[in-house]
This record gives sequence, structure tokens and C-alpha cells, in this order.
Amino acid sequence: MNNGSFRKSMTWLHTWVGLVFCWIMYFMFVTGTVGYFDEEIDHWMEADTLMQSPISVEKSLALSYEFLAKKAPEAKQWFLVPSQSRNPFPTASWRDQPIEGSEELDSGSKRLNLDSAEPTEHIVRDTGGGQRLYRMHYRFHYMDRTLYTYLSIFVTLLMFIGVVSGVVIHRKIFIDFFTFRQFKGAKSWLDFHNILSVSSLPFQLMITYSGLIFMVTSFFPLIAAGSYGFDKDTMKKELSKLATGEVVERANVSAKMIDVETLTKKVSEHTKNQQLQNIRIQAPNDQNATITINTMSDISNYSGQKIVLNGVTGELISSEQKSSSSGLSFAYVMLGLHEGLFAEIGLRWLYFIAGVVGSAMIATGAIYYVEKRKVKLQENEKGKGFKFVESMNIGTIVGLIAAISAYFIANRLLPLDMENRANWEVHCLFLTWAVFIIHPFIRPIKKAWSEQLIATAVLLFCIPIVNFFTSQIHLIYTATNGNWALAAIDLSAIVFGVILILTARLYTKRETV
Amino acid sequence: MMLLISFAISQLATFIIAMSMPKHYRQILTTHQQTGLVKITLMLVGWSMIILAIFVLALQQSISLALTEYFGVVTLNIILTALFFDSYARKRATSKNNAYSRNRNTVQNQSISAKY
Repeated sequence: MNNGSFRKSMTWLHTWVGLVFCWIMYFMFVTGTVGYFDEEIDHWMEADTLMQSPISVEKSLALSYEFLAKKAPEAKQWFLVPSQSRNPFPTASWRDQPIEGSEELDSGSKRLNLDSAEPTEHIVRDTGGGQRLYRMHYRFHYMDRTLYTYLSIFVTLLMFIGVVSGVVIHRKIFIDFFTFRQFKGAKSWLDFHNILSVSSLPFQLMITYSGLIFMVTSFFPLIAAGSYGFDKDTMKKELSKLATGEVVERANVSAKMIDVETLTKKVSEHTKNQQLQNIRIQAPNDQNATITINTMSDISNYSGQKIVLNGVTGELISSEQKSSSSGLSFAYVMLGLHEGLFAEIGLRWLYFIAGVVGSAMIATGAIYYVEKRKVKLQENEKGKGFKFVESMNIGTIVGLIAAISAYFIANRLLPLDMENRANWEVHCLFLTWAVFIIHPFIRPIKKAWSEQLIATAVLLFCIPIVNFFTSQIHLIYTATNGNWALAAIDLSAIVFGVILILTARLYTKRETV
Repeated sequence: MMLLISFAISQLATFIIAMSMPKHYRQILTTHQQTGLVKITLMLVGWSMIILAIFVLALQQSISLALTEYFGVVTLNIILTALFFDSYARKRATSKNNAYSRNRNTVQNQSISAKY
């Protein structure tokens, strides 16, 4: 195969992979990008909670420890996450607590209030929050687990192919590195697509490649099957051991656990300069009780130290690196980079911007496909397929932003005592999106663009306005109290709204020239 | 703070590297011909500044975090540089066109007044 035909076949691949799956890729990118501020969105959507500063590790552990001792004394496992700057409420989780008079087991997870002397549950409105939005980028919605797993793997793989083939077909990648020609029709869209792709290429490669690593056992099932056989349950159990370590069974001989003061002392003694990630207590209040202290390293939440103590005596049982092999270490670093949980505020914004650039890259690619053919084709040559792509582009590129805005507005406007409230927030998102997808099919394309841009801008402006009238954490309160994490959500809505208005103006101007 | 300093250095660096390309050099300095020495000098200065920008980020954190941050920073730098070069070239072309039409009008007016 000579170079010319190789490039041609890569162009074909890039065009069709991009065209057929661009709308799903765009959905994954946009929801994933918003997910970089999932915890901030959680706070915003809980609405009833004013922003609070994190408390010390000692107090966090004391609250969680005491709460779990009352709530689930005979559980199989406790899980304690200390108070952190992005999520100041300590989290106490338990698994498999026997329920009296029943054979069923109780599991749950609660966030605890910071300001009460006794550990009490932090109760908030029923909302999907940022977590639901973030999970949509790989779980989508209304889908069965197997379907969403394979769909997200498939689309991620195609995205990765799209990125690599894009590098191959970009003839003058170095010469045209900084080239961008505005107001030149299809050429401008291509330049825009190229500049966005090239500038964020490391991010695109990292995010798609690490996305595949997330689901490597589903993606390459035979590798895991080679070691663990085809029994899915055994495989799942063995794989979870890699991340969490050996499972400790209860001896059913009750024993007194070490007290909170000793636990806190042991934690600070063993973590030293490292950051505490969480504490896992297996077989609590039992002779076999163990306490696993997990620390986190620079980039990956999954790597770092795993220190195991005897839960009754406090003696050190083992201390080792969480990743037991170089392959696992590599995977953990890639996963850490993908999630960006380690990122402080500056880097978090850079992640967000790279995500926005990635979403814009997909959008401009889809628009370029239409604009290029628009020049070539006469009005009567434009088939149904062309019009379908044109309409879907509008409904997805602009409509998804409108749908996410509707999700935020629904959070504030749906009645607090509504049944399945959190689910209805998501229904509002998809209903809005459906309206925005149908709209371009029944309106002239030129008008559909500007109408959708303006309607979406209005929805975005509604976010801070509705927030002002329905909650106590509105923009004026958050800005005057220096709660920039929450204020940024209202401000971002305004900024994106202004950008959409300017785009609508530019579009109308271009169409009338 | 280090992020902002690194951003500023890296922005300047990408601008200088763009200037080392004849195509962009002509967009800014239309009257000057780029020589081989100027090209190499600009490239050397630009790449050195990129290394400096990474080094600045690595001052207060590990190199792995610094590199992660740098890839985010340079994404913005490239887009801003591309936007700047295009806007500058268009502005220049517009003012050149305006000057040209002004001159043409003046010449036309002069020839009309000379005629009468």
C-alpha cells in the first residue's frame, strides 16, 4: 500500500467513524467534562447546604467510627472517607450488616454533618447531582449494564481510532500547527477542527486510551479468562482482590476494636507525608478485625501505600504498595490521569478546558462534514441523509447543552417531596434534549441554528436566576462569601450563555451577508 | 501562582516558535525576509522557554504533576497563538485595504480637480 492510498483509507476511516458516532462521542465528552466538577455540582444541587470548610482527619474518623459502631456493628465491612476540601462531609459506608429477624443484609453509605457533637446523617434533597451527570459519560441512561459497557467500549475504541487516524491524515501537521483562517467557510471549520485537535492531542490520546484501560477485562476478556477461567463470579472476585486486597471473614467471636484515639495515632504514624485516601475496616468488632489504611500518590488514587493493622491490637500486619506489578502501576497511573481526582483547582480547570476543547473538536468535525458537502452539492442533490446529519448536528451540539441546563433548572424547580425526584431531573434532561433534536427537523436549518443557540443561552441564563429565587446559595451569597467553587457554576452558565449569544449573532450576520 | 507564571512563559514560547515558521513570520513582519539564523535563533529561544515553563511548574510539585499541568497549559497557548496570528493578519489586511481605498480616492480626487 503506498502512502497516498494509506492516507486515503485513513481519511475514509476518520470521516465515517467520526460521522456515524460523533453524537455519542460528543455526549460522552460533554458529560465527562462536566464531571470534572462533579463534587462542586453535588453541593450546588443539594442547595440546602452552605459551603463548609473541611474538618481534621481526627474529627472525621471519630465521627465516622462512632456512627458505624451504632449503625452497623456486625457488618462485614466498614469504609471511612475523611473530610476533604472538595467534599467536606466525612463518608461512612457499611456492607452486609445482618438485619434482625430477616435473612437479608443491609448495606449503605451516609455523609455526616460536621457541626454536631454526635455523628448525624447529612440529609439533603433527593438529587442526582454531579455524580449522576458524570456517570452518564460511560453509563449513558435507560440502559442495561451489559449494553452500556459494550457501547462505551466500542465508542471509546472508535474515538481512539479517530484520534490516531486524524494525526495520519493531517498532511501538514507541523507546517499548519498554528494555522487558523476565520470566515473562510468550510476551510475555517477544518482549521478550527485541526487546531482544537492538535492543541489537545495529548489529552485526547490519554483520555481515550485510559478509557479503554478502565474496561480492559470487558474489552479483552480472554486475558482475564486465561488466568481465572470463564466463571464470571470468580473472575470478579479475583479482580476486586487486586484493588482491595484479601477478604477477611468474621470469626464470630466478638472483640473490642482499638479506640478512635489509637486509630488516629496509627493513621498519622503510618501515613506521614502521604495523603490519607480512605480506611477500610473488615470484620469490625470481631476477633479477625483488620484495618486497612489506604494512602494516595501524586497522580493515581489507586496507587500509594496499603497499610494493614490488626483491628483489635493495632499491630502492623503488612505495609506494601497497592500496585503489585508494573502493569498494574501503569494501569493505575492511566486511570488516575483519566479521572483527575488528584487535581487541585488550577489543574481541574485545565482538565475542564481540555474537555471543552475535545467536545468542540468533535462538534467542528461534524459541522465541517456538512459545510464541505454544502459547497459541493446543489440544493436538490442534498438527500435525506444529508439533512438528517445537518439536523442531528444542531440537535446534539446545541441541544445537549440546553438539556444539561434543564437538568440544573429542574433541580431547583421540581417539588422537594416529589417521588423519584432525582430520576425526574434526568428525565427533564432527556425530554429537553428530545425537543431540541426534533426542532431542526421541522424548522429551516438556518433558522434552527440561531433559534437553538438563543434558546440554549436563555436556559443557561435561567440557571443563576432560578437559583437566586429558590436557594440560599445563590450567586450573590456565594460570591460575597468567597465560595468560588459554587459561584463558578452560576458564572460559567452566564459565560457560556454569552458565548452562545455571540455565536448566534455571528451566525445570523454570516447568513445575511 | 506558578501556574500563571508558567502559562505566561509558555504563551511567549509558543508565539516565538510560531514566529520561527516563515508563514507566520511573514504575517507579522511583512517587510523583513526571515534568514536561517533568525529561524534557528527563534526556535532555540522558543523551545528553551518551553523547558523553562515546565521547570517552573516542577518547582513546587513532582515532575509528573508538572507535566500533566503543562499539557493543559500548552493546549490553551496553542489556541491563543493561532487566534492571535489570524486576527493580526486580518486586521492588517483590513487596514491595508482601507489605506489603499483612501489613497485611490485621493488620487481620483486630485485627477478630477486637475481636470477641471
